[in-house]
Amino acid sequence: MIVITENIINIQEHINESNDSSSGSLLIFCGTTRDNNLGKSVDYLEYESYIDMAKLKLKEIADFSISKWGLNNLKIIHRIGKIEISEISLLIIASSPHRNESFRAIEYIVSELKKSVPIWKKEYYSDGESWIGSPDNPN
Amino acid sequence: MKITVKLFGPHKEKLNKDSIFLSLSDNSNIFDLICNLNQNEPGFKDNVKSYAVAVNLIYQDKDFILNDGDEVAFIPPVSGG
Repeated sequence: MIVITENIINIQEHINESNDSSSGSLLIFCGTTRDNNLGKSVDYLEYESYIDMAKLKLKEIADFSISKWGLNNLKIIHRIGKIEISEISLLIIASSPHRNESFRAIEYIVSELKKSVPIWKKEYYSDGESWIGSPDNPN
Repeated sequence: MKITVKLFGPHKEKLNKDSIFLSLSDNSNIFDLICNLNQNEPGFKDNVKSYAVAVNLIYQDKDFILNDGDEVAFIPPVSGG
């Protein structure tokens, strides 16, 4: 399941939906918004996406991961819009018969997401703002 | 042929628009489109060298031949997560 949403992510709701009796591992990764970056204090962030393409790229990544690591269940949820500090911007839940598969899958998914999925974040400071991923503010 | 160009993030902000509609001659490729935008859209070329390009949601190389009605997106370095 792939979701891009402006709504706050409810982890428990997604865990309940992901649990299945054939899995011995249910692994959860949360990307959360930090209050600092490169020595600057961050007030909040905003995420923007090319939504149709982001969903397509995430589905490619998910399909590959399910096939390669034999996952029983996989959810990737990414928030966009304004996100306050310490909120969840990315939730990935992977379940598999054994733990190694879900660990490897989640590491791969996060890595690929940061390379190719068209989502951008902008940090807001007390004295300005900056897009992350620019040469002077790398991701 | 008619092409829709989509802009995002810092690029959208810099040009103060999220879409550009333009006409190109048949058999134009992405490189031709970039040349056109460099000439006609002030500020376009400042960052675009480091951007990826997607046509109808799929990443493509700069020599990809465009077709009438294509949506071409300039993708700044991504930073999701």
